Amino acid sequence: MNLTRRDLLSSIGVGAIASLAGCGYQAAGGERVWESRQQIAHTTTIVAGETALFGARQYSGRQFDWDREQWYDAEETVLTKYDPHGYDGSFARFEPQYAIPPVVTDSYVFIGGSTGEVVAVNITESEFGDVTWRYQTDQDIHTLVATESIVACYTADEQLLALDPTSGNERWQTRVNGRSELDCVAIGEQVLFVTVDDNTVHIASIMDGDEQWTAQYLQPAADSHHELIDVAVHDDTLIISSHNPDTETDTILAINSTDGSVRWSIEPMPQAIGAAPIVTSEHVYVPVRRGLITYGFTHGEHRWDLDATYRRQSSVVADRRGVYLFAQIDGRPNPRLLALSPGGEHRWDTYLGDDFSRIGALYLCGETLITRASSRFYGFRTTPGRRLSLW
Amino acid sequence: MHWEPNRQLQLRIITAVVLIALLPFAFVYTFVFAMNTIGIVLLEALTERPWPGEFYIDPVFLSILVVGGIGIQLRYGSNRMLSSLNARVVDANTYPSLHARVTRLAWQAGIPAPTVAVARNSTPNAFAVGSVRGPGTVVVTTGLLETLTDEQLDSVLAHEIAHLANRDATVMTVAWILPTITYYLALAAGYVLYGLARIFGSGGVRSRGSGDGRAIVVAIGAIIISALVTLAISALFWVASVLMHRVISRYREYAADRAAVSLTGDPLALASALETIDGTMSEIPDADLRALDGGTEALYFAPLEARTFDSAELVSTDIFPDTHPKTRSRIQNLRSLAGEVT
Repeated sequence: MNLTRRDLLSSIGVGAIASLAGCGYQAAGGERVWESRQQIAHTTTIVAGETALFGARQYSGRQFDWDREQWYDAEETVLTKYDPHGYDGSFARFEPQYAIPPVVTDSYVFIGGSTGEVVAVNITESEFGDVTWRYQTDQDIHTLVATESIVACYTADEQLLALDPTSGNERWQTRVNGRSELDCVAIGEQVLFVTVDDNTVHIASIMDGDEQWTAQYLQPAADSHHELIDVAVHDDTLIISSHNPDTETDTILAINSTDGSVRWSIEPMPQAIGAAPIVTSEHVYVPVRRGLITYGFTHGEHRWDLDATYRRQSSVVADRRGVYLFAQIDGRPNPRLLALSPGGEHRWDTYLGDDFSRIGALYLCGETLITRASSRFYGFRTTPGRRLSLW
Repeated sequence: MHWEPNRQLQLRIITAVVLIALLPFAFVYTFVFAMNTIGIVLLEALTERPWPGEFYIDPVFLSILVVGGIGIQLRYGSNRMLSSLNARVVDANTYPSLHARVTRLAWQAGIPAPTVAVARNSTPNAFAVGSVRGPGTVVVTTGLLETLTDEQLDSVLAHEIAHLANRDATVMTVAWILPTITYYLALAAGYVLYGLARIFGSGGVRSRGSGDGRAIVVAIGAIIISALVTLAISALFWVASVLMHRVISRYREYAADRAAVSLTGDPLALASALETIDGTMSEIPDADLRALDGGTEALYFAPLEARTFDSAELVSTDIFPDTHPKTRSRIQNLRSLAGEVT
């Protein structure tokens, strides 16, 4: 067949115009856009950042050192980066193995090692995998939190320790007596450490670790206590959720982090299942037995409930466009990925396929929803694809 | 008799133009519907994952495509038709008498003198190819020039000039775009199926790997179903567009006959031309008849003889409604007109 240059160019032209001008395939919301090449997802601890997901694995075995040209026994953490487009070619390995779930900021992943060491691993594009600094603590690390301005860790000897995130230099440390069940969050210029053993919230300054204020909010019965479910931070508000196993009730508190004043509280939380609330600038979404209950972020007023049509939902994430969750929907093939607007209106729901009978947690990285199903990670669209048009 | 526009024909031309514009939309959206139902299922089987999105085509883009296609057909369709019939444009020096007749009749009809082309073919026939900007083309075969008398030739040329004056030749030229596209699509799908049948017939596919071969089976199944769907939709719209083409064609022949009579004032010459052509048709060699059977038979002055060739290839008139009214009926009409004229 003779293909002239004119024919070739006109074919390319027609194809280009067609693809640009308004025909093709419009992806639906929730459509799978990628799956990880490596089948290691089931062995990883997931660390979700704003723009990428990281899978951390513990590795024990023999490794070959190319510099020294000899084998050695390795006890390492292997970190794999999954960007929102599914590229999983970036990975790093370093000692030691992580002991607690790593934490991530825009520039670093921080590892609390099994040897009491804190390791900062660069995750920027140009220096991915470089160990920027190491800090050796005297004890095992119980809790590790980080922001762009501080890394705080709480150790087994009840020390709260603050490190500079870029250099690893110690800023301060302070003893936090008798708070073994401590959760710790960093928020802006302050460090909050929260314990509900005594139903008390404590806040310390980022500058020197001095306690700024302490307040007791929960009023337990004499023979009962609260267990901390989660501490979420948004803007200057601390959303603390706790569970009372004796009464099988949950409580949600919204506290102003600057002065400890209570903005609002929900006690007891109806139909609670002990799940952590999902907080956005407008809403607090709380997974409950029947579905999802939504409250206003500012005043805590009840907004809407998820329709009972959607059964057995799990793994809720949210962004400014709304909330995403796995759900079984009456009369539809299961399982489905469901998206609702901030006002509770149905946006889309998508059948995921037979591979997804056992789904892990859902994460939101940029514009991509990521989940783990058996040994792979999968990325899904948060919005329908663009329909190219001449309009 | 004097020349006057045929209102009934104009109404049919307007209807035809609307259908010509709408049928491509219906064709494309039927395809999009098939892709969003059967195509998506096939994709899911091939890739083993859901495809919850949808295929689409922007209406504005499609409109541009249809208008562009019609424009291309108007610009190049006449050339393509002439070349497919081996007709070449001739000048006044080569065929002075023919040119003079055509120019005179065009002047009588009040239209610019059309281009004249001659096809080397012993079948006595003629047709007109319309154009939007140009004057159009009148094509005659060498068989026609050799067979007819001067009066008969004048009446046949007047008939073709009438097609150009009525603008129905232009509509017929444009109307052939969808049958052409659907024909080639169906042909491509048919070749795919034929190729697969040949491969399987010769036992050409054998699994060499250790896999269960499911992917190959699914892929082949998807290709077969896609080809069948393409074939079915293309065939459906080919039939629809050819039917439309032929229904317009039949009426316009009556109108052109009447207009030709108004130009020549001699209905009996046209009737005798039809008789002569009809009478010689059975003597035409297969090769010449087949050369004219390229999908343009609805344009001819006289219908081709429905004949099954030795190689069992069908003349397309065998399976579709006639492109022309019955020649006998046209002759009777012309004789009636002769009564009116006298």
